[in-house]
Amino acid sequence: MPDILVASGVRKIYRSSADEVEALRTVDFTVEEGEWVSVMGPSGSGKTTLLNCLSGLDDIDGGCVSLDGTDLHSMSDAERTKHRAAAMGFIFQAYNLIPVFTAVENVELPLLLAGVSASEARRRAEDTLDRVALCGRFKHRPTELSGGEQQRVTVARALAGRPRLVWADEPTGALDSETAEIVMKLLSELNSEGLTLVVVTHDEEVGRSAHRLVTMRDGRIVNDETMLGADA
Amino acid sequence: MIEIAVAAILSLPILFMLLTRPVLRRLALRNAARRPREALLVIAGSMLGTALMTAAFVVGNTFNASVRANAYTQLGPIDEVATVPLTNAASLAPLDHLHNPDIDGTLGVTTTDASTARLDGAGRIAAAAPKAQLLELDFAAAHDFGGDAGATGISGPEPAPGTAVLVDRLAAKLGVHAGDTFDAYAFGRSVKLRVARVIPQTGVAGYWPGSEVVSYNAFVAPGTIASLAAHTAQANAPPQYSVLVSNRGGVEGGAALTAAVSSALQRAVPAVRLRVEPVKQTLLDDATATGNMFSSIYRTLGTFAVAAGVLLLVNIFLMLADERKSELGMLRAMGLRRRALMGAFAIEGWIYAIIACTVGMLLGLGVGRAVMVGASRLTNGSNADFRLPIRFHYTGQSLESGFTLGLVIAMVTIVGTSIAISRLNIIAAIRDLDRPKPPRELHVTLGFGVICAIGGGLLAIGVVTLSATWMMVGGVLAAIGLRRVLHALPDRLAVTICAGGILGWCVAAVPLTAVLGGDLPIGTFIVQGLTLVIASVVLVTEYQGEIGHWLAHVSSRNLSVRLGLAYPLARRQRTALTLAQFSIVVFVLVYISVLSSMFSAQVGSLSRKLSGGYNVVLSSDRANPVDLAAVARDPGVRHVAPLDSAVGDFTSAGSTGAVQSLMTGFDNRFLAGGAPQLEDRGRFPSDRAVYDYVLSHPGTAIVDDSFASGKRGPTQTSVSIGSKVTMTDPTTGRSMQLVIVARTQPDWVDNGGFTSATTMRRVFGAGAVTNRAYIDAVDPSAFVTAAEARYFAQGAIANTLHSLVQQGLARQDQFLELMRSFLALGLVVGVAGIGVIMVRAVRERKRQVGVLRSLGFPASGVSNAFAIEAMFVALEGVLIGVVLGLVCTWSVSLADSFGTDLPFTVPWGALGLLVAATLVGSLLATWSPARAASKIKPAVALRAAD
Repeated sequence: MPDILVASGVRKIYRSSADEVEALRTVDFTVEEGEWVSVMGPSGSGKTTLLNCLSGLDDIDGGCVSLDGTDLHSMSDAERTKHRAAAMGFIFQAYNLIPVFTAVENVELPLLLAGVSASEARRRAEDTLDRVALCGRFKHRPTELSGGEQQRVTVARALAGRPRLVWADEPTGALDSETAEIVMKLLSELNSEGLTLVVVTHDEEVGRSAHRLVTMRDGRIVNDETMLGADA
Repeated sequence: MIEIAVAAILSLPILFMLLTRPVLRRLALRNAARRPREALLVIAGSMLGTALMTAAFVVGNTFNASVRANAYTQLGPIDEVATVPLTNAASLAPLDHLHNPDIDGTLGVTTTDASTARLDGAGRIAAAAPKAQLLELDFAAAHDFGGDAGATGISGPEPAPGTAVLVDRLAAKLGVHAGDTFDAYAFGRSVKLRVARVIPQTGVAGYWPGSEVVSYNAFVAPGTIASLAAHTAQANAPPQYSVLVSNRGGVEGGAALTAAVSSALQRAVPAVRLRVEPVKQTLLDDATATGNMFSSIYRTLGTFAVAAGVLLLVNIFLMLADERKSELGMLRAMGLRRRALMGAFAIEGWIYAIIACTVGMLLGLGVGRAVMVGASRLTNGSNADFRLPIRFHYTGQSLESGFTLGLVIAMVTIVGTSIAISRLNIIAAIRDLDRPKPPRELHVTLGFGVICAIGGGLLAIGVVTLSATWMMVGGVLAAIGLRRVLHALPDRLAVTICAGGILGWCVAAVPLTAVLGGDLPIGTFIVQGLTLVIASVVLVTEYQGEIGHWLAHVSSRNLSVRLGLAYPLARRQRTALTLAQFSIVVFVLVYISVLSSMFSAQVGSLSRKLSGGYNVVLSSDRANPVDLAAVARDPGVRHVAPLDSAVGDFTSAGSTGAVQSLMTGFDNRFLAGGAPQLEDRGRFPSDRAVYDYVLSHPGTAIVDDSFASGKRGPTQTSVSIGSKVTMTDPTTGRSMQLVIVARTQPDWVDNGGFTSATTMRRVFGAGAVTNRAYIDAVDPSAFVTAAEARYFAQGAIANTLHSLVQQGLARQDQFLELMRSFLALGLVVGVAGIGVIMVRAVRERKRQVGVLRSLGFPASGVSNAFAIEAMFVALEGVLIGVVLGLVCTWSVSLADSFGTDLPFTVPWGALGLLVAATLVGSLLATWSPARAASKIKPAVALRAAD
């Protein structure tokens, strides 16, 4: 399969008035289309920073990140934002739903941002919520949903725009094991349908569900192994 | 001192907690210091209330000091004045050497009204002062009078025959200097005088018995006045001889002895009917009353802005509590008691309040100064002789009062809000869930039932006593109680019924009271304004969902619009508070603007009403009046209605003392033109019937609302139709009781009141001088110019009725404009409030902005959403304020609430400007936080919300 994402020599430095911390130290990283890559490592190893920099959410201090051959960090902020809306989806540990929007409104957001008509966006949002087994919860606000339901809304939001690549930062970190299993099963199904997944996790089990497990330490990739037992 | 004590008492519990509760101290101090920029915004938003209150006190101080200054410029050591006709001067001789420990000295002075002019080489008038005064006194005695030579203003030798010493204001008016000549006219004769020197208008030199603040005095050689009066047969306004009395003590201190000194003077000349005028005491009382009146008006109007400030403070604290909800929940879970939580918030609020009140107090000085700059334009109105020079002044007590009032308001608000915050549900707070609805309890419902009953009772009392205030307060309480009692109905229906009911009732209560003849004090309009705004905000809040849905639909579901509307629609409590902030201030600004426009639109109709078929009013020197028969023969004059006038002392039942006022006597000739239209003709079928009745019934009169209400003090209705007043000639002591049979329009023509010429002669005899006239001229403006030139020697002053009405309305409009400027400061509260709220909103939603940006929401969309949010709230607030302002003024116009039929005129231009200024201000206040939001880096926002 062709590479969907190629990162080479990526550096990221966090600067404060007191000191500088090099969070990513010349990282090279690729993701193939349809691949499921898990990124693991201890706290402070640079996992989330890697996700942020490779997805274009954060600026980098060196190197290059290209998605489908396009250099993300050479784009203007507006271009990068547009590109993100069209090609990527995000799942966060803390759900990060918009609290004043209902479940369906949260899910249709990326569709509307991508320029889909309002009626079509609503239809697709409802379909996606159906897909994550939330058909009866369209009109509920995040505070009226359980943690598992909120995370499923987050998954639905990430998928609604039919992105080519989904980034997930600790998608099961705030969930109980039962709910976490449901969410992981869902992600696995989606991956088997061709969705490319990059998952940052602390959870060994989640990490080992991927095709590839990348281990980070001190801002460097120290291990990159293909998981033989993963569902492909 | 009381103010400081109140502030200390309020602060004591806080200081006690600061000292004895280290955890609360740490919580409060660290939270306050956590975000210094936001703390500054909180302080900025909450200091305006103190600034406005302090400014109101400073305005009072300044007016007081400005009026009080006349004690120095027109009286100096003079405390009392005893006056008799010059022919009786000898009768006051015992006062010349009166020995009394309370009296510093006495000084005799001879005076007469006169016209003065400087003629050019061709004998034409180059400059004139038609209303001047000639005085004769002993300069050496006057210099030493009262023991403080500097306070008398008198210096140098007495003027020699043929010369005069001029007060600077008269010299400036005539354009003369030492050595120049001018002419003085009195008793039908003239005398040419050379200016010996010019002295400042101070103390005795500025002695002036009229209400003007400018003294056009010319001191002449002894015998000059007598020689002018010698060849005249006029006995109606003879020269006066006055004994000026100086009490022990300084310029202001002596006034305290007035009562004792007046009695001593009367005892010294028991055979003389002595009229002692307590001029200093009257002036100082007038100063205090004027200061208090203005201070009270500004404080009352400031209430609206203060209310907006209170709402802002509540909003800020609710936002703070919302932001810290989870940590507060954790603290409660760990065992922090509810009272302690409240204490922590109270300490933090107290820190903000102390700083805000201190800065606000100082800012209030600046605001007060700005208001007085505007006021000086107002007092420098059309007639320069009445211009009150504004002397900016403030007292320490005013600053203390402003500070304390601000602190009390802030602390009550903060403690109230803290109590509400401390009642959080621990689990809901920690898990950031909506607060569960409290269960409906019977005793609470019963409590609301009692409130409903009390409201009904107050409403009934309001209807019986014709008090719009009680009608409204009762109505509101009844509706609040009813809202809870109506629990069987769906929530929305119950809210709609109650809020809608309050709206309708409060709009109707004012005109209803006016129609039924009840009084409408200024407090009524405050209650009406606040109540209407709150009811409207409640109603709008109830239907915000529909409004938002419609707006989103209209905007084709634009994402920025949806996001901009989502927050205000979801957080309705906060939105309602911000809405109310805007609505209150905009409402009162619109109300005053429309009212001002309605008053201004009256020029034509009021001129017609006041004219009575005439178009010019002519008055002249009482000692040397214009020959009105000659005026009737002047070219372009169609008709002349001569009027008698005299200044009398008026007392009514229950009044504490006599009030001086002009009274005008008319005869049949006045009615030929139709006579001025009446405001209230009482039981009579027509205005003409009233005038005929007054003519045929001596002892009856027609007066206006402000008749005999004093010079500058608060105008109060002292007499009403059917009431009786006693009119006394101060010279002879003759008096007559007058029954008030009707009410005139506002007295902008300075007639005082109207009675028959017969009544005037019975009381004043020859003192009722025919020196005024209503004239119907073909070309009024041309006649005014010609008459003032032709009858200058008689001190003729002519005005068209139209110009008098215009001047009166202009003064009224300037006063309202000043009010508008003061209230516009309230808008600053609203605009600053939205700025503060948006800054906090950006911080609060940092993480959500990060999510949106990660989903592909463009930076411009984020800033647009924040701007739309601010504009939505501002626009709703402005619309509520404008609509309520228009509805209320319309109801005022329908019901004749201000005692005159006002045409409903909307100043669309001014309202447009107000709306535009508010929206632009709100947009500018939002610009910085919106820009900051758009610059939030998604990764940074997601990494750490804080």
